[in-house]
Parts: sequence; C-alpha cells; structure tokens
Amino acid sequence: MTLHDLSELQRDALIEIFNIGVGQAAGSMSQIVGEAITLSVPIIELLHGNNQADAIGAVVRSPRICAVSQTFTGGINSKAFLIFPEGKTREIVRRMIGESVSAEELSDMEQEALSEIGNIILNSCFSSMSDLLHADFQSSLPTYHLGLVSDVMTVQKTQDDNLLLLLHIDFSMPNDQIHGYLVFLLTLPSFNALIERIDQFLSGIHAN
Amino acid sequence: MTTSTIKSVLVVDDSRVARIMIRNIILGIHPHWIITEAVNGKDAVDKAILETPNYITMDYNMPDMNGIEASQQILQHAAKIVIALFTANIQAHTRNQAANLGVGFVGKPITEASINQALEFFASRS
Repeated sequence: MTLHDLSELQRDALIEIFNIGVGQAAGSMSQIVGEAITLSVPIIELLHGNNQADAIGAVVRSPRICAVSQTFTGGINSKAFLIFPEGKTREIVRRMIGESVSAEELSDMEQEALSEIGNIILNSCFSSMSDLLHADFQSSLPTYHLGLVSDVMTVQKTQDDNLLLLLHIDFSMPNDQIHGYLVFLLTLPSFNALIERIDQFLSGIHAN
Repeated sequence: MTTSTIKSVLVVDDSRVARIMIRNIILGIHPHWIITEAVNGKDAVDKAILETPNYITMDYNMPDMNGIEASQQILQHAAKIVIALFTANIQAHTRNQAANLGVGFVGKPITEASINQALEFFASRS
C-alpha cells in the first residue's frame, strides 16, 4: 500500500482533512503566542512500518528529536507524533512564554509548552478528521520525548503491519521558520478503516 | 428566474474535494448559478480577471500564493468582485487582513452553514 494506491480524490480528501486541522492549529497557536503564525499546506507521504525509526531518522535528518505523542482511539486507532529536530523548538517556546523568563526557566518550561503545542496540533487534526469523517476519537494526554529517534520510536518496532503517515509542515513566525513533522502510526486495519470512512465521505458529497 | 438573479461564482481551492463540496452546496441552493473553478492563487487571479464573476469563494491556505494575496491582486483589477475567504485558520491577523480588503471571512470545514454564511455576505454586498 502506498499513497499511489489511493485514488486522486482519496488522496485529496486526506490532504484536505489535515490541511484544515493544521489551519485550525495555526489559529490556536497564534492566540497563544500573540503573533501571526503560518503553517504550510502539509506534504503527505505514506511509509511502510517495519522500521519507523530509520524512516523518520532519514526524513528528519537529525539523530536526536524532540517529540510529543498522543494516542487516539475510536474507529481508527493511531499513535500520533509531532516531531522537531532537537534544538529547533526553543524559539517557539520563547514566543509562547514571553521575553520575561530567564534561559533556565525557559528550559524548565520547554517540555510543558511543547506538550501543549503538540496537544493543539494533533487534536486539531483529529478534530478535523472527526468533523469530516464523522468518526469519534478519544485521546490520551500528550507525552513528551527527547532523545534518539530509535529510542522515541522504539515502542513500535515489533508491529510489522504498521503504516506511517508522514506530514511535513513549515511553521512560519515573523523572522523565523521551523520545519516540523507530524507522524501518524496506523495499523493496516486502521488505515483501511480510514480509507473506508473517506470513501463514505466522498460518496456523501457525490464526488464519485 | 430572471438573468439578474443568476450569479456567477469562481470557486478557488487547491483541494478538488473542497471545490466539489462548495459547488454542490451552492448549486443545491441556487441551481441556476454559474460555477467555475480555479485550483490555486495564480489560476484564481487569471480566471477572475478573464471571467469577472460576481462572487469568489477563496481558500486561504494554498501553495505558492495564499488566498489573501490572490484576493489583493484580483481586487486591484476588478474591485467589484465580492470575495469570501474560507479558512480553518481563524487567527486575528488573517481576519484583519481580510477585513482590510473588504473580503468576507468564513471558517472551514466547508458545510452548508459555512456556505450559507458566504452567500449571506455576497448578498449583503450586492
């Protein structure tokens, strides 16, 4: 299964779902940092899952990553990650918390602030999916990870029928641009359930 | 149905799915309206200048040129076209940019309610 196995409309619907989710997240993040934030139209890839750590490492091009993960369950189950190369997140957090805090305080608060950003972006994507596909999701609390890609992604290593939906997103703030990634780990049955929902949605709008 | 009540709408969105939804919902309400489509900001500018539709539904988040930039260029050439910006990104900055251009602001996802909001904006400016 690759993205090319999907029809043009199925791919388009998938991108539109995430585009709306990311757009809503930009609105929420802008309210938090008090500045204009632009999140780019996501570029989507579908990767096979025997060794997600290698796949992510190759794409992120950094051996160490900073990530926030959440598990979403419902008709479609997924473990979702917001990933940044290590060291790229401080500026986002500084803008979120403000100029007045010291470097030490900033470092202490980084984990909490990034968890909140992950929570906003990941939940916006699932909320968009829920709105368009009429699927209900429950989410776990965000978990913060900092370390080698292989350690962060290690829990998934044993499952060989996973698919990995990877979205590249640029975060643009005045004077800064940061490239981040969203990764959705889906079992094959969950991916098939997602496509089934997309087909129902497309049939509902008389697109096929 | 008089010709004066038949309006033309240019639907701008890089997502084909979004264009289909907007087209179908508008035609469900106004079956005789003329709908054309543009797939990105540049295509929107070209078609708006060529076709001068009554109204435009404009997606915000598109590659290369966003909906605000495209609206700016269109209004420079055809100030009478009424544009409603569709975006999931409801931040004040975007909303203010739209307001400064006299462009309507409608939240995504696309639903019958959001299309009706755009249609009401169009009617208020006609």
